[in-house]
Amino acid sequence: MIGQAVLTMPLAAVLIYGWLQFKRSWVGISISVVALAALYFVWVPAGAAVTADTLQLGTRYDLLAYFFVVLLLLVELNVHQKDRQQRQVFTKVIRRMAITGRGTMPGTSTADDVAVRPLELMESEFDAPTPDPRRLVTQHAGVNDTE
Amino acid sequence: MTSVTAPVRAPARVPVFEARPSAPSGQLVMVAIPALNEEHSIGDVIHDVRLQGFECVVVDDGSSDRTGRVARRAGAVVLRHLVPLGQGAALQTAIDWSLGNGADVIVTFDADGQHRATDIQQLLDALKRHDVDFALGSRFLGSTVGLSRNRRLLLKAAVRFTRLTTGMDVTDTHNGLRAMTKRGAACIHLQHDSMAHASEILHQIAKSRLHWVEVPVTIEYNEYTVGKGQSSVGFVAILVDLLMAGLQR
Repeated sequence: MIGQAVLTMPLAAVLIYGWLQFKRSWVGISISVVALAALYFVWVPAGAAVTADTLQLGTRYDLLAYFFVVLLLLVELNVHQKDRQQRQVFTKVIRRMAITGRGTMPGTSTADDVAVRPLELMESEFDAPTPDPRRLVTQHAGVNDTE
Repeated sequence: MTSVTAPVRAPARVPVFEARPSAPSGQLVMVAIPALNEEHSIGDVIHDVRLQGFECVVVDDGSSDRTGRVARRAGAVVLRHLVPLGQGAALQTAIDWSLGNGADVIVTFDADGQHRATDIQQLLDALKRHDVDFALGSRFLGSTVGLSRNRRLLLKAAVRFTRLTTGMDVTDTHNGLRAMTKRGAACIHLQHDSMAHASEILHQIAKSRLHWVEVPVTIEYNEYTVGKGQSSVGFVAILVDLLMAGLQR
C-alpha cells in the first residue's frame, strides 16, 4: 500500500501536468493517457499482470517500468516543444530589431559593430512605434526626445 | 523652478537604402544573402551580384567576424541579428525587409560563394517567361562542380522526402538560389530557424498553390563551401526538426 501511494503521487502530478499541456499538442493528451494507464496498473496489479502477459512484456513490474520510461520520454518531448515555442518568440524579437535598425550600437557608424546593449535601453526602444520602412529608406530614423 | 532635461535617446540606425530599379523591366530586384562568419567570401559574392546590376541585402546573423563590415563596404545593405538565429531566420528577415522596401522580386543567394551571380538573370527570365511566382534553382537540372558522392546521395534522398511530403515534383530541395515575386514572398513565413527552412519553403510554396518552375543553375563546391555546408548529421537534424514541428499544434 505504501509503495502504491508513493507511485501514485508522481503519476498524479504527471497526469495533471499532461492535462494542463493539452492545448500545446497531442503530446499533452498522451502524457495524461499513459499516466492514467500507469495509475491503473499500480492500483490493479491483476490487470497489470494480465496486460503484461498479453503484450509479452515480462512481469507487471516490467510493464510499469516501461510505462515510466514512456512517460519520461513524452514529458521530455513536451519540454522540447515548449523550448521551441520560446525560441520562436525570441527569433521574432531579434528579427524585428534587425529590421528596425536596432541591431547596432547607438552612435556607431556601421551596422556591424558589436551590439551588446543594456536590456532596459532595448526595451524602451522597443516600445516605440515601428517606423514605416518606406519613409525611412533614405534617412536615419533619428529620434531625439529633446526636440 | 528646477528644469528637467528630457532623456536623449540615441537614434536608431535604420539601414540606408535608396530604391532603384535593377532589372530591364524596371522591377526592383533584391538579392537576399544570409551570412554567418563569411568575411572571406561575402565581399566577392556581393561584388559579383552587384556587377550583374542587382541590389543586395545581407543579414549578418550575429557573426563574430567582420562579415557585416565587409558586406557594407562591398555596397550591400546590412541588417544584423544580435545573436545567431540560423539561416531560416536570416532569410525571413531579409524577405520582410525587402518587401517593406518595395522589392518586386526577391532572390535568395548563399553567402559562401557556391552560387553563380550570372544565374540570377536566368531565374528572373524564368519568372517572367512562365508567369510564375517562384523560380527554384536546381543543381540537378544544371550542373555541379565538386559534389561528392555521399552528398549527392543525401540530396537525392531529401528530394524524395520532399516529393513525398509536398507533392511537388522538384529535382532539388536544398538549393539556396531561388527567386520569388513579391506575391510569392508574401506567402513565405519561415518558422524553422535552422537549415530545415529549405524544406519549409517548399511546403509553403505548395500550400500557397502559387505556380513555380525549376531553373538549371550551377553550384560550385570547394573546400570552403563544403566546410561551411551541412554534414550528414545535419540532414538528420533537419528531419528531426521537421518532425518536431509537425507535432506542434
